[in-house]
Amino acid sequence: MEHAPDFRRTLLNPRFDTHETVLEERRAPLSFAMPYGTRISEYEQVLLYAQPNPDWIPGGLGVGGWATAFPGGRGAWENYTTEAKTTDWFVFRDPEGRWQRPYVSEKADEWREIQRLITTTATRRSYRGIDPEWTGKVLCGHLGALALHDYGMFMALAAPTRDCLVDTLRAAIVATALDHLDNAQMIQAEKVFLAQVSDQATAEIAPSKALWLEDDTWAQARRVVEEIWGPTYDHIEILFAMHVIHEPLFGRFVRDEFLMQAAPLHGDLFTPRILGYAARGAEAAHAWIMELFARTLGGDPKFGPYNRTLMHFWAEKWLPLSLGAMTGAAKLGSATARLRRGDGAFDAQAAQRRVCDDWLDRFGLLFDKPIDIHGALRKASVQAREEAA
Amino acid sequence: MADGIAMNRDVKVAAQDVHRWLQDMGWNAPGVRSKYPSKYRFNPGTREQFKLIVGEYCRMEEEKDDRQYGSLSDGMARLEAGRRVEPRWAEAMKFVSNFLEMGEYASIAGSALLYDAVTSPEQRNGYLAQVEDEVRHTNQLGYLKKYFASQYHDPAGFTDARRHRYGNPLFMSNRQQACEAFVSGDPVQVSLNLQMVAEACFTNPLVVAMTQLAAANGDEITPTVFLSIQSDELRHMANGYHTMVSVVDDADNMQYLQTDLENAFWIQHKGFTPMVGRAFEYGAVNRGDPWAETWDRWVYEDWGGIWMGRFSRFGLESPRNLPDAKFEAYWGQHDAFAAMFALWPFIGCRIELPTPRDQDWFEKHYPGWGDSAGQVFQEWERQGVADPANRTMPVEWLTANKKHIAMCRVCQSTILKVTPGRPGTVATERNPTGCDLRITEYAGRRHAFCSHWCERMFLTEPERYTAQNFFEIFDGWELSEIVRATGGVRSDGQTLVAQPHLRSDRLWTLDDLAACRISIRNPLTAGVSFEKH
Repeated sequence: MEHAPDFRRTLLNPRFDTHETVLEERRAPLSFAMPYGTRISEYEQVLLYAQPNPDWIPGGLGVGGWATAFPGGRGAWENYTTEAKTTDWFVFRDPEGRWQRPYVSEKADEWREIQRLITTTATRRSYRGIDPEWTGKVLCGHLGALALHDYGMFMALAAPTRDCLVDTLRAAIVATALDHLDNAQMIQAEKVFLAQVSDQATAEIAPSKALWLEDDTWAQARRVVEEIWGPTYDHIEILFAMHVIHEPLFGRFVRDEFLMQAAPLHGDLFTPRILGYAARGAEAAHAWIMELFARTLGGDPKFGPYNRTLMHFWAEKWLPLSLGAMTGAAKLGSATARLRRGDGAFDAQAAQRRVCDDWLDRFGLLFDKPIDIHGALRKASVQAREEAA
Repeated sequence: MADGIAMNRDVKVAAQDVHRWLQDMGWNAPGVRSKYPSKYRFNPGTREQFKLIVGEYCRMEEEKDDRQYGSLSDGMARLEAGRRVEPRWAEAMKFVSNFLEMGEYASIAGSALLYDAVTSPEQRNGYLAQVEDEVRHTNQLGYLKKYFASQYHDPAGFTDARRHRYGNPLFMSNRQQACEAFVSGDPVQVSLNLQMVAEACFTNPLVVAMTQLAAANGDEITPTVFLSIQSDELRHMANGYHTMVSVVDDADNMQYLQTDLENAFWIQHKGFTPMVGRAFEYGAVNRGDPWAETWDRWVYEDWGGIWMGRFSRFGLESPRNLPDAKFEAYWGQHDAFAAMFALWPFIGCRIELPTPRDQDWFEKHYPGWGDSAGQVFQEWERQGVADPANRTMPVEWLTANKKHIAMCRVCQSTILKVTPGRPGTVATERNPTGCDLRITEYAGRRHAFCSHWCERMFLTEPERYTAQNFFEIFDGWELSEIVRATGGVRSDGQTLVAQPHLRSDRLWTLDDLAACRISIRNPLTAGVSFEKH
């Protein structure tokens, strides 16, 4: 390079150490943006308004249109890819402010904890008390089916990641997509571990896939996942179906009410800790989902009432499907001899009612009129009985 | 058997032990197909080579983050690294960091489109890692701007660029190439644009070569961030390679691939080549190798020769437009700087005309520069266009000499020729600049193209390229009104963010600009790009 000796040690080179007149006192980025808190946060500075929307996408600052469209003319991002409306997409924030750095840091911590848990469980032989039937049938069967369920949820988030109209929402969706894929991978990690220490265990996916594809327990859940992943094109509806309806009902029922409660009854203290990370992911998603549907859309000064009506319409469409999936999964309550003995270890109907009560507490205010979720649950149960008969 | 193993503390579950099962996680769901259909067929058995799972990926990225953010917020902050940068270079970084942020941001969506489109679970897993990488890179570039803004003496341009970029005609070319081409179209075209060309070809000269140049100009911040970014790019190049692997075995796919590769290469070249060359040669005070040589080494030889050579056994050849791009890599950055300087009120940073030392360097490395571009720059210097007291703009001299800036409908790049033309290209009355300008009419509008290659893309799929360009959007607007409307002023509401010099005094204001009495015109209908009232 030219004049190499002059700048070999650039950092401390006095040649660059000059004091220029300061031209501008305003140093905080995004002076034009409305901060979520009292002042613009680091999360907002590294993300907000990265999305280059023209002004005909609400909140966009640009002019003109997109220069390159899909064959047929669909532009890079379009208002018509969702029925939801807002006066400003850039109002949305993830209340946890999960940009990339805190996200990967938390996830790396989780896996370090898992590795320590595996080592501790192995060296203390804590796995020895696990009911063999639970290991073979539930952990290496049904738990693996739940991994496929989460894999499908991860795939269903591809379109919202591509199509959503604002940067802050895109980052939140990406974190949740990773969480779902990670849920599946954590379950597989548990199976790989168990296969090393238990004769009843296998790391093979095939038995779980057979349950996922062919067993009644999972048929309705698979239908919901495939319905979201496949024919649902509205990216905001996908988020609604997944995280307002399906995960808080079906996911909560299977993870929190069945697996995490029934595992200790079978001597399994390992699985609840693994599933705790999925619960944490679901709660992180819940935080930004409420921000999206309650504040950005439901609280929009112009389109709030419209969005609440739209959400009611979506709820009527998706609730029966996810409640059906929950009803189907109630069969897990007889998966082992211990559960079949019916000693009150797992009361599926009571668990379903608890999940529905919690759902009403958390989401009921999103809608423009009351939702009879218990009536919908009864209908789903009757339908399930009729189909079984 | 189980107890024997369990006594051993080595019972562990490595990332590879989990990854090897991923390929079994997919299933064929009836009615489930990608929302982004492709004319290509993907091989569902395609593997990927990095074999990461989410946990291992995050562990790796956390460590990289700790090193990068740690150095920035600790050592470099105490040394006030942002204050030691050559001003001309720091100003160039305002443009480059915003351009690159745009590309990284769009790549989040582009990689998601790809993971939806392919059918191999391993491939999806690789693309998802790229999705999070692109979130990382977007955040890193946002942080880099925030960092410069906190230390460099002129933070304007780092602070509110996400607003005033929309008044920048050069931004539209970047948005087209590094954003829309990454998110719109056939998934394989997206992969070609993003992974095979932008990442595998151009990130090397952009990100790697730029770190050397940055350090030579007192900037240790950019290398710290860029090298951390580049450490992820290898994975993205591999993703591009695996996209190709997943389609090349199918003979039906091959009927499209060569043309799609050439289109992608041309779009990416039109965005990267002049912009990076301009930043390197007109943004640096201390220069390294000439851009033409850097381009030859990284793009022509390494990518066009070695990288593309891997695909020759499948019948895929280097793009046929590579030689045309090579010609533009010699002169294109000088024309691009001329366009940038001519449009200076909109560009979001401060620039200056080449000094006598710079002129010597340019003539030495680009013989003929002094008699072509150099003369234009000297003329602007003589006219005192940098001084607001003179009430004159560079575009006035261009207009007087019948050099009108047009914009290509497809690649959105500025069409202005002040350097020697391609051999065999002659100036005519219709095309007085002697460049490759082409004009056609379609659907009641006139469309300009920079080259045969962009014209070919338009004629094949005109419905994909319909947007208004800068000159059409602002046809009839007086220059200061555009700056005012798009937020290109400092906190006093009057002084422009952009300036045609690096001085601390004689800064242009909206009133100075308005006093020039110049309006934008659409050259395709008015015959000129600017009018003086």
